[in-house]
Amino acid sequence: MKPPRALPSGSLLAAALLALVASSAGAAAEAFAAAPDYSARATYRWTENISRASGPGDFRDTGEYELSATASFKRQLTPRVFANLDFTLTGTTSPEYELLDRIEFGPRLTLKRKFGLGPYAPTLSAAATLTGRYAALHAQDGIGARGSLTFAKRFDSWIAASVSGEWAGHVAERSAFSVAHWAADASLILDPHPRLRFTTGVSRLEGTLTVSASRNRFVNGALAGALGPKVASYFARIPKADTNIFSPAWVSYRLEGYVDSWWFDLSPALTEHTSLSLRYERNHAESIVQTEYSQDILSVSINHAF
Amino acid sequence: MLRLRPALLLFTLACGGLQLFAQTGFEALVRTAEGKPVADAILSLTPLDGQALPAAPAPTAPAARISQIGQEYEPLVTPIRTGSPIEFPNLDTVQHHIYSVSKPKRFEIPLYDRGRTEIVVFENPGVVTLGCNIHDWMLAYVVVLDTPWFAKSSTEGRAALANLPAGRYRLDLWHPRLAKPITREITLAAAPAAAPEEFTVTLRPDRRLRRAPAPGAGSGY
Repeated sequence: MKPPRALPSGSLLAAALLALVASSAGAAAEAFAAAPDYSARATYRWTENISRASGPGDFRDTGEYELSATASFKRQLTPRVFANLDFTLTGTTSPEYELLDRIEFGPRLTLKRKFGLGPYAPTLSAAATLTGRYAALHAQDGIGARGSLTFAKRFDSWIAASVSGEWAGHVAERSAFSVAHWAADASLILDPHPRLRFTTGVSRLEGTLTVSASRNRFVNGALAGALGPKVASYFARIPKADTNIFSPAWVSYRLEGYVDSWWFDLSPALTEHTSLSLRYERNHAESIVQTEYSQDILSVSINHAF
Repeated sequence: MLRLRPALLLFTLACGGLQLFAQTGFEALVRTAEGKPVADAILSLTPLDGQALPAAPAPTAPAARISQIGQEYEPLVTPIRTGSPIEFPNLDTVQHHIYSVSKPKRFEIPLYDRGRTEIVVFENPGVVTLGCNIHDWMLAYVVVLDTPWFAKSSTEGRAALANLPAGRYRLDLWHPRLAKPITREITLAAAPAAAPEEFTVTLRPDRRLRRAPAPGAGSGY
């Protein structure tokens, strides 16, 4: 088995990013010459097959609680160009599988070009995000970067749509968790009432992703050739790590493949500053050696802008 | 008796003159079909008997103020007379970008920093819709009128006009959610009516854009 690639310590990188973020927040407040807007989100998420396993015996379902807080600085640079600098801190915990617990934090810079005046003017946004991750499973620790380009258009007060393309990558302490992908998505927003929003979307992601399996199935099944020589040969050379993530003797490994997603979200506005979000997401992934898995994710969030 | 006739004639003429220049009033009560009072309706009366309108005051000081506060415009509806200036203070801690694409007054004030106040003169009559190009939910209306006799309905749905000459008028009632303004001819007697005139209106659904936070992203890969 090829040893995992030695990478800079994810924890150290994450700590360095945190220091950078903290020092740049004050500078941002000055540069943007405005007080930040604060927002927070609390989420409960139920994921079926959070392990991303291909065989039913390794399916693990669990609930996670997540709290997220964002400070957002906005600045109009020219009459048609807007800058938005967000600093977000997110904490996630899973009562059942504590190795899923993690904290993520980092800045996101968005430049938005509006082609005209008013809510119906089309917009083109370019966003760059840096995210540090500090996880209970230290193999995941590291820094992620994300860049995206989004075109959005509101057609009427009740309908809007957007398409976007993105690249994302994460450099982790263990290479099984260092992933990168390209993704494209399209979404449709329906506002049948000012207090009710329905959003639906599809996306495709292509690149690398981390999945998990029990060591018994991985070693004695896939690696031993139970899924065919092509899979055995591929699994032998991909980055992998003993993580014991869902119970003792579990392996996490990195695949190349694609993920197709479909989701919808029903979001009633409780007040002008608070909304509820009920979301269903369906993911289907297939690796380049035709192993596949599906996930169903249900979540409920409360979002508040202070 | 003959000696009294000129005096009687003078008295009659004087009374007629008083009738002609008598100051009267008009009050409207605006409600929905369900009986809910309608605020922010603009009632205006335009004389139809060819009387000259009182001259508009010189636009030396702002006639009204529309604040940007809490990332909203306050108030929602502002009636002014043609040629009047309005001041737009930014009382927020964030930037705004006021604009209008309405025909009576097209303008925009970008890069509108906190603490700044701009004054805009509205030279043409009509309804001017204001937005903010940064905060798409922000909305306000300026109703620019040639007549000096106008009033905005209160939260109780009442709009009252005082000190206007008796005579014939075109009455206009406008509201941002009315499909079409209500227009009718009325004649005001010297003595104001004892009860307000009631208007029952049908309002279109509120189509303002949602301000509440958008849902968050998905689980993410």
